[in-house]
Amino acid sequence: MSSLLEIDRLSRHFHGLRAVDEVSFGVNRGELVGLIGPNGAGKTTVFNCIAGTLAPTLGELRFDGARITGFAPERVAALGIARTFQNLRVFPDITVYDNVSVGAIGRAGVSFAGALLPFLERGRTRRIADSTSTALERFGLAAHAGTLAGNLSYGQKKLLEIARALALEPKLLLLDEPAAGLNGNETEALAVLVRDLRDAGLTILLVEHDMPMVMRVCDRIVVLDSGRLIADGAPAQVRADAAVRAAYLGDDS
Amino acid sequence: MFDSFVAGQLAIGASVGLTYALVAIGFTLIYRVLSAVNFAHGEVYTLGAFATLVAVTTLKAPPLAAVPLVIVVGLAAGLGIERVAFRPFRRFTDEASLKSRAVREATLLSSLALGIVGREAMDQVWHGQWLAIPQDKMLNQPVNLGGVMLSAGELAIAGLSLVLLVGLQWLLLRTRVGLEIRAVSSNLVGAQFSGIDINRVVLATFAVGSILGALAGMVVSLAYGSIQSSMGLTVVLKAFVAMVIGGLTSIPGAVVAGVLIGVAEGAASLWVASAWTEMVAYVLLIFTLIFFPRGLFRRRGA
Amino acid sequence: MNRPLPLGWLLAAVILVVVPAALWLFGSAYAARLAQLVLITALLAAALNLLIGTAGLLSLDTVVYYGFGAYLTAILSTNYGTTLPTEILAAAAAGALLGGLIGWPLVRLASIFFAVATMGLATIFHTTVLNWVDLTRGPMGYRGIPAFKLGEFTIDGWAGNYYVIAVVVLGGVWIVHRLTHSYYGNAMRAAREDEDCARAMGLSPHALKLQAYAVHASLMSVAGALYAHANNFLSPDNFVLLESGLTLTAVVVGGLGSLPGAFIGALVVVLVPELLRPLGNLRAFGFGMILFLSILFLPRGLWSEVSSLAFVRRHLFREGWLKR
Repeated sequence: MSSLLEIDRLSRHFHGLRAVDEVSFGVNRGELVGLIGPNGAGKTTVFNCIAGTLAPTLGELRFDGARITGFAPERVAALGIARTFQNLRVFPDITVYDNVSVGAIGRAGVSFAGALLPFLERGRTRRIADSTSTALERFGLAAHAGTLAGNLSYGQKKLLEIARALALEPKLLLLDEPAAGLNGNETEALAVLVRDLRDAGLTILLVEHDMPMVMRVCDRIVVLDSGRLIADGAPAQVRADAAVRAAYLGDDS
Repeated sequence: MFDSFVAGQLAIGASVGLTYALVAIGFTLIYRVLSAVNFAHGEVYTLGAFATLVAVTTLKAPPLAAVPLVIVVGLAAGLGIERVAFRPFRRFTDEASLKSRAVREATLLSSLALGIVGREAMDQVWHGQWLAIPQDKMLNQPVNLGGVMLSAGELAIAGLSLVLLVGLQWLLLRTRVGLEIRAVSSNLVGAQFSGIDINRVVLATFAVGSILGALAGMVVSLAYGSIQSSMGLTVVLKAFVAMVIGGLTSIPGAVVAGVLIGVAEGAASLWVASAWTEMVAYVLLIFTLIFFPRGLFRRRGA
Repeated sequence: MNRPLPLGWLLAAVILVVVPAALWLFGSAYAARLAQLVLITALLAAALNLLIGTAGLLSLDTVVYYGFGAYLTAILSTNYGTTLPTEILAAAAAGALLGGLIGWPLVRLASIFFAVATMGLATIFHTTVLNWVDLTRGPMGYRGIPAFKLGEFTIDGWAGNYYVIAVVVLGGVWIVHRLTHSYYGNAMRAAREDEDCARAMGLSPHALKLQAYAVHASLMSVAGALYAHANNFLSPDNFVLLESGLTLTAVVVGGLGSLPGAFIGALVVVLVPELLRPLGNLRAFGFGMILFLSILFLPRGLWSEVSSLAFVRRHLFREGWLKR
C-alpha cells in the first residue's frame, strides 16, 4: 500500500504555544484512519492544516506524491481532498440539490462563458448533474432535493454535508467529528455509512470524539496528546497502549 | 517652518473633522449595540441645525439658550427613528435574530428610506433654500491663536466636541445606562440573562447618539451660519466613512478617523481646487480599506 | 436547473408587442419616454440583482457604471460619430474593465465595508463628472447627443428608440438570467452564503464575486449608453447617490433574486414618482416612502406575491379547471 497523504514533522504554533509539535503520520490509499486525542490535543489543528484553513508553522504535507504545504483551501479541494465541518456548515438558504451541486461544481468547474452559452459545456454540465444526483441518491436525500437546506433535520444536514463533500469525488475525505450531536442510533447509522464508503474504496481521515465508534470502524488510529503523536497503530494495539491510557485518564472526565 | 495660513487651514480642518466625529459616534454606538447602521442619523444633525435656527430667530433666544431645545429635538428624533425604522424588525430578542443579516440589511434600508423621507419632508417645509442664522447670533468673531486665525465658532466646535467626548466617556464608564450599553454591545445574550432590558438599552443608545448628532448640527450652524435640508447628507456620509475607517466599533477610532478626514480635507484645500476636496474622504476610505480591510482600529473580539 | 422560461417569452411579448401597441394606440411622446426609462431602469435593477441577490454584495455604486457608460457614449458619438453596435460593445467592454479594476480590491471587503466603499465610489464619480469640465462639460451638462445610428441609418422617433432599448435590455436581462439560473449561479450563491465552506468545495469566492461585479458594471454601463441616446442630454445631477438608491429600491420592491421582479420594481420606481409629480417635487420623497413601506410590508418583494399567484394558476391548470 502506498501513502496517499503524508504528514511530515508538522508543527503549528500559536503565539509561542505549540498546538501541534512535529507530528508525522501517513494515510494509505483505501484506508480509514481515525485521529483522536483528548481535548486540546491538536486534532483540529492538524485537520485544518491539511484542509488548508491554517498554514503549518513548520513541516511538510504531501498528497498523492506532491507537496501541498500551505496551499489555500480551494486548491487543496481541487486536488481531491474534501472535508466536512464540525459545526454544520450547509448553505441554509439554497435547496438541498443546489447544496450538493456545489461540491460537483468544485470538481468539474464552471465558467462564465459556459453559463451564457450552455452548448459549450454540455459535458461538464452533465457531469455536475450526474454526480449531484448520484450523491443525493446515495444518501437518501433525493426526495428532499427541492427543500431549502435550512429546513432539514439535524441528522439530514449531517448527511447533506457528507453528500456535498462526496459530490467533489475526492480521493481523500476528511471528516471533522461527524458524530457530534447525534444520538446512539444515528451514530450507529453513520458508522455503517462511513464503513461503506471505505469499503467502496474511498480513503478517509476521521477526527472523532466518540471512542467506541472510532475503535469499531477504523483500520488504524493515530493518537495525539498535547500536540504530540503518542500512538499510531491498529485499534486493539492503541487500546492497549499505556501512553494512550495515561493521556485519556489524565484528561478523564 | 511655520506657515500660519497652512496651520489655519489644518486647524479648521480639524474642527470640521470633530463634527464628523460627533456624528460618527452616534453611528458607532448604534452599530455596537445592534450591528446595524442608522442611515437616518444625518437628518438628526440637520434637525439640530433647524432647531437652532428656530430658537435664535422665532424665539429670539441667545445662541446658548438653544441647547435645551436642540437636545429635546435630538432626543425625539432618535427615539422616533428607533420606533419607526428599527423596532418593527426586532420582533425576537435572541442574538441570532437581533444581529442576523436579514435584520441588519432591512434596518439599513429602512433607515436609509426614512432618512430620504425625512430630508425631503424638510425640503418641502423649508423649500430647499439656504437659510441663514442672523449675523449677530453667529459665532464668527475672529480669534488669534498664536498667529493662527480662527473664528469663535470653530473654537466652539472644538470645545464642545471635547466636552461631549469626555461626557460620553463618563456616561459609558460611570453610569448605569452606560454600563448596560457596554454590556449589551459586548455580550447580548449574557446581558439579557443578567436582567437587562434590551429595548431600553437600544432606546438609550439612540437617545445618546442622536443628542450628540443634533448638538453637532447646532454648533456647525452657529459657526458657519447657513442651513439647508440636505446639509446632513454630506456630513453623514463622511461620518460614516469615519466610522468605517475607525473600525466600525471603536469610539476612539471614529474620533481619530473623523479628525483625520477633516485635516486631510483642510490639507487638500491647500493644493487642489475646493470642488475636488469633496472626494478626499472617499479616496482616503478606499485606500484605507485596501490596506486595512476591517478599518484601522478594530476592537478585540469584535 | 436550466428550467425553460415560459415567463421569459411572456415578458418579451409584453415588451416587444403589447407595450408598443398600447403606446401606438393611446400613447404620447411622454408615455414613450417613460416606457424607455422603465426598461433602462429594469436593466440596472437586473444587474444590481445579480450583485445583491446572487453574489450577496450590497452595493450603492450604480451611478458609477451607469454614468460611466453614459458619458463614454456621449463622448464617442458626439466626437467620432460612432454607431450603435460599437457603442454597446465599447460600453460593455470598458464597463467590465473598470469594474474589474475597481472590484479587485473591493469585493474582498466584508458586507458593510463593501457597501460604504461603493457609496464612496459614487461620490467620487459625481465629483469627477462635475469638475472635469474638459471631458464632461461639467455642471452645464452634455447637450446634443445624437440619436442612435445603425450603420448609415439614423434611428429617430419613439418607436425606433423604444425597440433598440427593448432589444438591448432584454439581451442584458437574458445574460443575468443565464448566469443566475445555472450551476455558475449556484457557485455564486455558495460564495455568498458561506465563504469558507465554498472554498472547501474548491471554489474561489473572490474570483466569483469579482466576476459578478465586473458583469454588473458592464451591464450598467450598457444601460448608461442607452440612456445617453434616449435622453440626448446628460447632467451630473443624473448621477448622484440618490439615483443608486432608486435602483436599490427597484430591486427591493421587485424582490431580491427575482428577474421579473426587476421589471416590476422598475415600473414602480419610475411611474409612482411621475404620478406624484402634480403634488410638487416629491420624486425622492416618493421613492423613499416606497422603499420604506416595501421593506416593512413586503420583505420578500412584490414578485413573491405575483409568483404565488402563478403557482395557484399552475395548479388550476393541472387540475383541468381551466384549459390552456
